[in-house]
Amino acid sequence: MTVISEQYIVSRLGNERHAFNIRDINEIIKMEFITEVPNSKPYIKGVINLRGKIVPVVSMCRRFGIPETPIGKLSRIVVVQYQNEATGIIVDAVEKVTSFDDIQPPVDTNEPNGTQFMDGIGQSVDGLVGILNIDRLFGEG
Amino acid sequence: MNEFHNATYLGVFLDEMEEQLQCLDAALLTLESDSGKEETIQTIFRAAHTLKGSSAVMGFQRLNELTHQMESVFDLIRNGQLKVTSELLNILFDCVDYIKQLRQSILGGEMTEGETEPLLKRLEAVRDLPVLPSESCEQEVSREENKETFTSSIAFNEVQKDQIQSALINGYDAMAIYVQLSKEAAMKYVRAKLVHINLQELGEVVVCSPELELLETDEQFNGTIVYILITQEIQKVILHSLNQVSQIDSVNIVAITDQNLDTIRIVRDALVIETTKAEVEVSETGRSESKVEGRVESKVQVTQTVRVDVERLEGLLNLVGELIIDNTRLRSIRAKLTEHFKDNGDVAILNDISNHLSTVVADLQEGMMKTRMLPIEHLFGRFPRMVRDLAQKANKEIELIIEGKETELDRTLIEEISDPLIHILRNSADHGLELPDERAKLGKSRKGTIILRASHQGNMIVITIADDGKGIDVEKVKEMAVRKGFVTEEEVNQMTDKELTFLIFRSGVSTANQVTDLSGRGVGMDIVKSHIEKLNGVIDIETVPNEGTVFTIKLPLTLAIIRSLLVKFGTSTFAIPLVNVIEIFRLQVADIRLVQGKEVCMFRDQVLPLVRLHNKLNVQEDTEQNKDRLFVVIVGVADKRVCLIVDQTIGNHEIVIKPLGSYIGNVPFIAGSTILGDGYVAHILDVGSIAREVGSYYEKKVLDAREEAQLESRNKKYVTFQLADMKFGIAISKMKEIVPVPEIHSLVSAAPNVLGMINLRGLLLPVYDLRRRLGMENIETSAKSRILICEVSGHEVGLMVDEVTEVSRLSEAELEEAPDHVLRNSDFLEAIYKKEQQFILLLNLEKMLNLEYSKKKEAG
Repeated sequence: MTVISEQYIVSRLGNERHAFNIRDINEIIKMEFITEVPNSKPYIKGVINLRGKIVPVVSMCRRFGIPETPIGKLSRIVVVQYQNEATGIIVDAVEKVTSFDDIQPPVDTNEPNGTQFMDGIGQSVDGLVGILNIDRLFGEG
Repeated sequence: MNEFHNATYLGVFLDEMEEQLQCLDAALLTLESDSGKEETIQTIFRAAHTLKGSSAVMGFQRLNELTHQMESVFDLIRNGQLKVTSELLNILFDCVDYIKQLRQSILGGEMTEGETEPLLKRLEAVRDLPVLPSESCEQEVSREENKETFTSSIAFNEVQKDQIQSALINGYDAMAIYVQLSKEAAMKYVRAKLVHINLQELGEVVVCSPELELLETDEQFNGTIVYILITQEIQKVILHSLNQVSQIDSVNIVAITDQNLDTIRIVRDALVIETTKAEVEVSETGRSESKVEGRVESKVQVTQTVRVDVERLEGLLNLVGELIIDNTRLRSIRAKLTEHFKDNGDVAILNDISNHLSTVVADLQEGMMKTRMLPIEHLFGRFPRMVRDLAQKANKEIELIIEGKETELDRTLIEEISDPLIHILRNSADHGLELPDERAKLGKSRKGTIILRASHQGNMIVITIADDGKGIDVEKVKEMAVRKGFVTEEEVNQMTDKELTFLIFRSGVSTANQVTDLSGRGVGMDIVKSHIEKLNGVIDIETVPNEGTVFTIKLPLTLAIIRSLLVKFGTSTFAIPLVNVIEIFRLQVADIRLVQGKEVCMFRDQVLPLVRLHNKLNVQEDTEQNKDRLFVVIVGVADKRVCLIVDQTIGNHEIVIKPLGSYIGNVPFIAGSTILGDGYVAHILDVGSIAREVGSYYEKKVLDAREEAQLESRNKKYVTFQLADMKFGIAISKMKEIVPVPEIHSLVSAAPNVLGMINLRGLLLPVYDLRRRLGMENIETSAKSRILICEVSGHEVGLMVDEVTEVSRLSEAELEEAPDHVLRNSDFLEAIYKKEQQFILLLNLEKMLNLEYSKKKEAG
């Protein structure tokens, strides 16, 4: 599996790095006030007002089942197009745009680190980066 | 069916069908009440004709046949050859019904037309026994005549006669031109039209008989056409001109003069040819004198319309929604700027612009909403017909009065409220109104009245259906509800009439003695309820025995932009659609009752369930607030009423409903979201689901609470306290709270019984010395001393007492009137409670303290 021309945006969550395929991404915005939606899916943090549109925001930490990291100055909402609707996900920081020389299939672990949401592991100068699969990341389960 | 079922035009066709059907219905009704009025028949004829044409285009053959037959019947009526009988009308109504059904099935995607044969037969049967000679027969006669002599003639109506006469006076010639088309002519209509056009070049064609449009489809057309021409040309020129048209067998011209104008008419009358038809022809071709054109305008009221896809409008409305949000944001930022830079000229300009923008946006919103609005007439227009049928089936005389049919509302709403209204109307007609004889016995007019009224009330539309019938028989509802097992007998006996009335919304409850074709199965009101619920509307019933029943339905004007009450739960803001807000009031915590572990409160004689949404909505309860008084918003959906405890009410705002999107999906208790002026997102409460959830155990609660309330009315609760060695009691309903003695600030010129003022959480209250008031000696306040905060004649006051003993229920049976000689002023005492060892004096605070106030006044 070598896809060199594909570009990815690398985000950070705690100490881990993840990559979004740049084609999936609508935009990346700074943190906004998030209105909680009571009784919705547990990993949904709430909704934001994105230029007059209501956009749901998912907490990546909650999705991965790890303790939530505090919202900081570098925190961003990555807005992706999921099933024709804009949907946001919170990351601790967005680092850079990159491409990978080599992508390995993900290693199966039972640890709650989000491996099940990944398409593969990309290698870059900074180390290993989990490449996210949007459909699985936002989908049920 | 065939390939002509063209999807593109189907929508247009169905719309047109709908219009024409309504038109037919309305006109047939008028025809029934006032038979044979010319204009009505014209309207019917036109409608049937249009339907015929479009159904042929769309390839609905049976519909085409049917409408064609209908048209022929109307034609006979129009010519006076057929009398309008109720039998005939029923057949026609049935035909209209068939077309309606067809429309419905086409809407449902079903393209097959139902069986029309029976209807056609009935129509033919009517046609075959006209009171006057039948058309076909008459036509044959005239054809025979025409072959030889061309004496087929025509009658003129007054207008035409005038026209011809004035033409004659002004030196024009008028002539009747009989044209016989050859039998084998393929396109008779085209020939006739050509003749018409040729004649038109030479002069004015006043009358053309039969009318050209009819030739197109009329298979029985015998080829003879009569034109009445006003011209200055001589006959030779006319003949020459007509000879250019091929396939004409012969042309015969008869000059019309003042003398034979009348004779022709007389001849006509004898033969009875279409007097009225001729008139229409003129008005429809519309090319005659201005006088005729004037009539056209007054007859047909055409409003210019454009059919637009609703989706497009939705899109525009969404944009307007965004504008509204941005405008609100602009206004709030403007307010801030104005505060910071008061003297800046640019800010003043910004204010101007923002103000103007606000009005423009408001107008734009209104305009956009209007595009989605239709007058409720579209809906109400169907009812006279329905009520007529109902009346006929039930052998009743019913007058339906419709008011406010110009009231406009969202077109989606119009569809949705149609069913509930039909059910209510049916109920009114079937159960509500009595038979004419019964009514007469009761001293009412034989004719029952149903008033259907629509009006706007703020951002709501209010529809009332009032009948002057016998009202809802509460006893019957009771019996039915018990029999169906919804409630037990004891429960019903404790319900108020209003609550009993509302039982009719339960499925299966009906007051009808027997199930009729019209109603009585008890499903209708259930449907009404669920529909209104779906629309977030509210329904109310008022009924008075033998005077009638009034149903009131309140609905939001539109489903996209609504006025809402913004409230706070904890720190989160939520919106409640204003249409569902019934009342806001403040509730004393002490007035909350517990029934089976659930909180309820009494308000205006109703027991309402209290709902604390904080848990359900995962918000923190605001603990800092003064919790003695709660803000309570009563919300209602359909027949349900529920009290919501909110932390704060913010105010009314226009909000744009935005869906949460499919990703979040349906969330309990939340109907959608909106963006507030400050840019934050607020959720809209789904009042319907809240009411439903609470309502499921609400019924039970009501009864228990009522029981308790009843018990209480017999055994009132009293706070008892000690003064010296005597026991006193004050009704708990007057009590606000009991506090330990705080610092009492003495007053300079206080009345002798006033100890001073206390500061109770910022509220200054006078404290009365009960001992002195009751003529006891003064003692120092002790650790047991308490101040009772009571409400007396609308004032909150404190009463100093030695000790509060308990709260107890005192049975009314043990109460006795205070004897005059017990105290110096027996007015102070309401009663004396005496049981076993206890002896409690129940104080009348009003008398005690009112006296005080008046004394004060005297002193002042």
